[in-house]
Amino acid sequence: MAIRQILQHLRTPIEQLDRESLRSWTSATHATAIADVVPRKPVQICGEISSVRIVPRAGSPSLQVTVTDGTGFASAVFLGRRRIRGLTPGRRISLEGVAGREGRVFELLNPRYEFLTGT
Amino acid sequence: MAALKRILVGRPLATTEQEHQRITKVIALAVFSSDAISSTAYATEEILFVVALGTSSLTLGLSVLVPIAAAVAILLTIVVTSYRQTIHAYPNGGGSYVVSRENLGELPSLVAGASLLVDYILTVAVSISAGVAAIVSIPAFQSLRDDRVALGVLLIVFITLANLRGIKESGRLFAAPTYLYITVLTILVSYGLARTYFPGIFGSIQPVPFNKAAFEGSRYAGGTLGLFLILKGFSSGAVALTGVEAISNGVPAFRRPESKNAANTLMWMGIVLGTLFLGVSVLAHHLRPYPSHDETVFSQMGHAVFANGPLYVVLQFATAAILTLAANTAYADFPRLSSIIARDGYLPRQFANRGDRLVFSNGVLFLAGLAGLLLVAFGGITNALIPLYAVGVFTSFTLSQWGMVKHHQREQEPGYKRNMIINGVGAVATGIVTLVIAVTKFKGGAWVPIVLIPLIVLLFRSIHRHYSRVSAALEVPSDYRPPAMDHTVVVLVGAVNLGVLPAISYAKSLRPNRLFAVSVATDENDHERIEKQWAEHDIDVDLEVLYSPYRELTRPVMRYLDEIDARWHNDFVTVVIPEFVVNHWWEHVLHNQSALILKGRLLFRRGTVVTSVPYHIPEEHR
Repeated sequence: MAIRQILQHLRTPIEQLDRESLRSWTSATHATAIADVVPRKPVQICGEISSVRIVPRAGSPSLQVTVTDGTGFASAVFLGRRRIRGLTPGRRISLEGVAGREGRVFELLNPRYEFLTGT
Repeated sequence: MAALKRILVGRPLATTEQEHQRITKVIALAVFSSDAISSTAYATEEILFVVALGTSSLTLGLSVLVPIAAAVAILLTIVVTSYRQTIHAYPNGGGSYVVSRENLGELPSLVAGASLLVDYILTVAVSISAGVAAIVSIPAFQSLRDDRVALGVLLIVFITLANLRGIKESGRLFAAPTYLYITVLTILVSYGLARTYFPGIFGSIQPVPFNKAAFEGSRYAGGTLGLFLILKGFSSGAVALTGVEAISNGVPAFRRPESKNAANTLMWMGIVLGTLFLGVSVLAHHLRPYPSHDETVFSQMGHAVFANGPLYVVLQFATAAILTLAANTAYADFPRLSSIIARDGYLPRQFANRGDRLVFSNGVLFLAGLAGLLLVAFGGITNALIPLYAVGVFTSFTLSQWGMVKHHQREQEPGYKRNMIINGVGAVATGIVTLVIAVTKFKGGAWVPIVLIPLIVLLFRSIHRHYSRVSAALEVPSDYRPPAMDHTVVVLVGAVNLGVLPAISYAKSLRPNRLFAVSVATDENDHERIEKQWAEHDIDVDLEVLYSPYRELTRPVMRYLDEIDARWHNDFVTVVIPEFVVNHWWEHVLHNQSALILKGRLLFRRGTVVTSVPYHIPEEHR
């Protein structure tokens, strides 16, 4: 049995392992899973920054940060700023705000953010 | 490489030059009949081996040699006559496979096709090894005895190259030895028989001196000659018929009018083969050669008729040449047949393509490869394979003739009843021979094709299933309207440089619904550096910086593509990869190939287009 489990584990793609470890980490916090977010309600989510969008100098300044907690993707948009120290790819953060929709994912406009530690 | 190919194979031929590649009857006889005619060199011996060694009595064996040979000759006449019908009915060639396909259905045609393909591969391996054996038995070349395999491979390479140059050129090259063999064998038979029957005019002739040590049996007395042995001897002699179907497969290679020319060539081949084979057997009956592994029956008879004169040497050389060239017939037919089977979707499509020189080069190379493999695997001694292929040959004979019977029945052309009888007799005769061979030679190797052919038929079927599935999936429904596309373009950016900026402009020119530049960062320094460069060059495209936990490119990009698919409905995502092109192949070593790995992964992602935008690094100034 144990051998079969090990083999199973070895065959699991890294992406899935990443998602699972993120999920087990976020489920330990009081945050809502991104998949369970309801629109137009205050919500707290947390996750790892998977990408940071830099807008061109000519456009109006804004910073979009996408986080994932293993259940889905959500974005935070900070208007009027080009960058926030510490909001860099790979960081784990907690976001608090009202979820709106951008395309098919939720977007939190100017949310409260907090840096988290731990793995 | 290109220059080497030009030397070996010659300049490419245009499709319009195909007409000039057709061959005359004289060359065709050499190309398509070298296999059949070469069997005169060993068929008599094969019969003797069975009947004389089987009874351990040379006299008893010799007593049935001529009757058996006559039976084989009658069979040959039947087969040739009915194949002439096939040629007229199916001028586009294909022989047994096409005839079975048109008249008997899928399964019989696949069995015929598989039998013929196996037959051709074995023909090459067997005839090359027989040719090598004949070469090394010439006293001057005996030192080559230990290099059989190398010599055989060399011959395969030579014949392959000649065939890649085109059927006309290989035909011209190989016609001379074939005709030399026919001539010298005619002299052997007629001079030998003349001396036997008219010793007063031509000088008397002595039988081959009996060598007790070389023949494992007695000269006179001996065991019994049962029906089984006679049938077994007959099925050994039936190898003389291998290669008869070659012409019917290659009709389109003939000059116009193809059918008439091919039918006449087939008739001439039948006459030459039948006469020489019978002649050799009758002569053997008088000269009493003994089957032995030390000296071939052929060589014993050559000695008896020509003594040690120059004609004996010519006979040996011509025999070696024709045994080798028998392979050439398979080269003429295998590619043609495999192209027809491939066109029907039972073999990979590549076999249906004509190469630079208008031959089906892939078939030629495939045949050479497999035959070479067999030759090496058997250490250059493939005579053991001879009984293997008679089963396949006769299976295809039977199927094609039975198909012709059905054909006549359906067409009811003038005189169809006579034609039905001709083909019907042929089908029954070859069908019986197939059974006889399968039974009498089962242990001797006939079981191999009996196992192998069904396997090949299964392979054909699964290839066909794949092609049917693909073509059904590609079928355009009648109500199809091209959809409007929602399209996101992603440009990969390592650093801002001259390779990347044009790629961004290119991506803009695609006018997608959304456009992002994407860069992968492993730490904060990467992030800051690319952010600074982006501002510095004032690039008016959003830049996404991706996190790469494992310091590599592929996974973050794949995850990002999943992210944008989650965010928007995309019909297509185009990933634009700027690539610089270096001037020398070795310069590639200096650049990591992460883009290549990414491309490999993206190939299997649905709705993903990968575009490489090249940037040619200028040559250094000298």
